[in-house]
Amino acid sequence: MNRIKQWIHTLEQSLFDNQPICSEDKAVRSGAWVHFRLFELFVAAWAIAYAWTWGFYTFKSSIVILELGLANYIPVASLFGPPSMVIAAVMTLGIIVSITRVSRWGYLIAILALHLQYVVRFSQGEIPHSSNLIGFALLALAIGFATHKDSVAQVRFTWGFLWFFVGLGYTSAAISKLMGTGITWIEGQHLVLWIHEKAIDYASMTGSWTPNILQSAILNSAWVGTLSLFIGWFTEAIGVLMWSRRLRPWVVLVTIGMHFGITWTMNIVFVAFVMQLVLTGFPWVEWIATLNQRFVNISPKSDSQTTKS
Amino acid sequence: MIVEVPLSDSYTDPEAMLWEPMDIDIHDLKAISLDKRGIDKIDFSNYVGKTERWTPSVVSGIGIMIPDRPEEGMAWLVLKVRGRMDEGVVSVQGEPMVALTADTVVLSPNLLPLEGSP
Repeated sequence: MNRIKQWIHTLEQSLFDNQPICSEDKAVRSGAWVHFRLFELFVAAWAIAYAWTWGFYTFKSSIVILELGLANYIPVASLFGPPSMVIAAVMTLGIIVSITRVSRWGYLIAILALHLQYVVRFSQGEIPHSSNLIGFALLALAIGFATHKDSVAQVRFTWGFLWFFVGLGYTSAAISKLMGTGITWIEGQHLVLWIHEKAIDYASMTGSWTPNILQSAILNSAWVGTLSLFIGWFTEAIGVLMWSRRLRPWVVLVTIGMHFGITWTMNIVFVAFVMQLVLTGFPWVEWIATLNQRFVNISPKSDSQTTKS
Repeated sequence: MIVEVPLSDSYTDPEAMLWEPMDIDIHDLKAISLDKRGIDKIDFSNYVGKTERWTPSVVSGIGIMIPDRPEEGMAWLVLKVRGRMDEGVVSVQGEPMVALTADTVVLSPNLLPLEGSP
């Protein structure tokens, strides 16, 4: 029991306490502020873009093809047309009032509106997961700001909550594959089938499809496919290691590699995922602080050189 | 997906070659681009794949989504594509659902509702 308590305490420290982004140390505080504000701007820009893109798309919709999630409980069709614009406007307003620190409840309104818009948009068909990481970041901001008044506590909660669920999300994806298909999920022939299916999608979209070098190698030898799938599965499985601040940059790096691998094999592009992982997964606060320190150290030196000359 | 094929036989006949399921080799088929016509591929795929009752309005919906038509003597076949893996062998087959010709939009005779059914 004590061991479990100790483990939970270590996890809590790693996720919430040892985060340079919420440090009050003078040396890193300016870097932490810049990093967190950039993160907020990034999430805001993507969320606003999604809300309006989905809104404009459903503006002309008339029938519900697939009822999923909330769509089972609310009349989604009544939100097509002008209401979809209202949802996008409410979402945008929510973001604006929180990012300008007028109200800490704005992000909560924004995530509720964005989720509603998501349900309305994807009542038109299969749900992609390309926007999930942005949605989760907005949810982290929403809960972090709504439940804390202190600005350091808001950042501390947002960051810890985000990394807990990002890590858990990747690992649970690996577990789901095992539960759904079993160990044979990594069989290369599966990837051959998915490449064919994605090739159909791609040709359907553009009119033609030509395999790249990696796709050709997998189509020619299922063993290359098995190796690719194993690397992908293993990378997802170690997602929980993102909980450790020291291991996070390395796990994030291989996860980004995995996303590129999926793009090269199955033509699925993860723009927002990769951008968010780059922005949040590396020790930018320390890097900014180091750069700042060097700049401070160099400045007097160059001044003295100027004086000498 | 939509592919272009020659319209050589009577397309209202259920036995016509046009309506027979085909093995898909992406390099041998001429695919019609949905992107160029501003159609979302996932939504189109759902429209075709998840429709259970092909009413006249659903069929005409395809004709509304696709603004242009093939040349005379050609047909654009809307296929429901399924990938399959049997004992390690991968195959991809397309089932023709709707054909667009130069002047009409026709539902596969194999999908016509049986007389007397609700």
